[in-house]
Amino acid sequence: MRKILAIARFTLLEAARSRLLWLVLSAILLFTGASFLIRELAITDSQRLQVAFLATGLRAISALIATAFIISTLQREFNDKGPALLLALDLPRSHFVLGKILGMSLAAMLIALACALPLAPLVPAAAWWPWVASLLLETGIVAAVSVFCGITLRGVAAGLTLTIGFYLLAKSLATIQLISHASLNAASVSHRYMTGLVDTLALLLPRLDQFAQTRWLVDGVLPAPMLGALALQTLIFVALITSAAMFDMYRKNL
Amino acid sequence: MRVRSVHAVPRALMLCGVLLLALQITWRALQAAPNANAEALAPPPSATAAQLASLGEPITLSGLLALRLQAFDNQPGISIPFAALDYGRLTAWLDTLLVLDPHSNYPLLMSSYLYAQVPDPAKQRLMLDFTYRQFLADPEQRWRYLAHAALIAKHRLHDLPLALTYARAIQQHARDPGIPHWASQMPIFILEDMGEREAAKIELGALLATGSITDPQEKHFLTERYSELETKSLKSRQLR
Repeated sequence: MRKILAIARFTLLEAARSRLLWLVLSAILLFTGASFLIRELAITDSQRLQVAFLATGLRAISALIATAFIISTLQREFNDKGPALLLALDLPRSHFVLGKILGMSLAAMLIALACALPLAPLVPAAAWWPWVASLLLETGIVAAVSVFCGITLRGVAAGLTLTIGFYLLAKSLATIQLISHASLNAASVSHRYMTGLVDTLALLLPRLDQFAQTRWLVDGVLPAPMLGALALQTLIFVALITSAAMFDMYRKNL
Repeated sequence: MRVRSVHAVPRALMLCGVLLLALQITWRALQAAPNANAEALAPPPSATAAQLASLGEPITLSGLLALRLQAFDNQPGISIPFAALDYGRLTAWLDTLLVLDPHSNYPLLMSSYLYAQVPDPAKQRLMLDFTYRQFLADPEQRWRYLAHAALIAKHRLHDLPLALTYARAIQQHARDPGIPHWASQMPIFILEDMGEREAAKIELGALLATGSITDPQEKHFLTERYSELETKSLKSRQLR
């Protein structure tokens, strides 16, 4: 356990020492400034519009920054043969993966938390904290997928594309599933094939559209009972992705 | 770089991975399937708000809003008949689209060809009225939509006076030489359908006298028609 924590600590240190903090701060300032401009422009529902814009923009940019950081860091480490040196010590590959996932997830969650802070004075605390809690869970999933892509794929572009693709698909899969089941052309073979494919994907992916919904903030809907289910889903999926990352790490020729 | 053999992976990890995959599938299968709720058509933003929101690109915003409106009957997982839409709001949306992009044909096409097809005369009339109002703002570009509206008024609503109003509007306001003759001849045939043979005959005679019909086939057809009308008028006068 100490080895895992040591890797996680050094991963966090690396995130803190890189210029990530400035990038996150710049993004926060940019989106917060733009949200106030939107608030001034809006004729009605100005606060609602500002909160919706800020929540949507900051959560997307935090996921993007975290993903780019995780994948580029892992790719650089593998190119520099850092993991090969580490694994020459008495360190199992599984511990390396666990340490990386823990450290990267914490770094990503800190980014997400920083991005959620500008919303705190704009919405009631009772609406803010469940939204943040669920955003952190979502960030945990995205960080785990990013680590998996960083370990498994070669090249930053491939890793980023796959992670962003996963994020967008997991966000929209419920809608795609609804549309595919309501099609007028339900009898055709191609339609049945596609519906089957969509249903299978829906079984494999978590429903990210249920996490950190903006309406919780703007309509004051409290999702507290749902948080437990979201936490359980996060736990299961992160564990699954971690085992997949470990599988690839064991097969990797360093 | 060749990967190492699968045997390099601890068996416990592979077993764990399979169990976790089964757990994920079970968890998702146990969750309720996504359900669809029909969303009511909200009122459109005011023209000023829409122009502000377009950030200097009103044509793009108009196009995107038109697509959204067009797809509104087919929300995710649910299909709503046009007749279930609030046509008052629909008209307001179409007005907003035209404020954003006055040269767009999209809103008039939607009003005359799409939303006017519902089997609800009141809603059909709302759409025809919208088409008529907007035709008057730009007759040269929008006459074809009003011509279609006249056909709907005649054949679907069986409201010949309304069809005549639209046909006369095209005849009077759309003066572009590129507009086909049949569009400006519509009032004659509607008058005939209304039993107003004398009026139809006078209009047709006036049209032929202007010499604007140059196509020999068309001229022959209209002259024949004129003769038929004259014969019918004569017969009805003799019967009286």
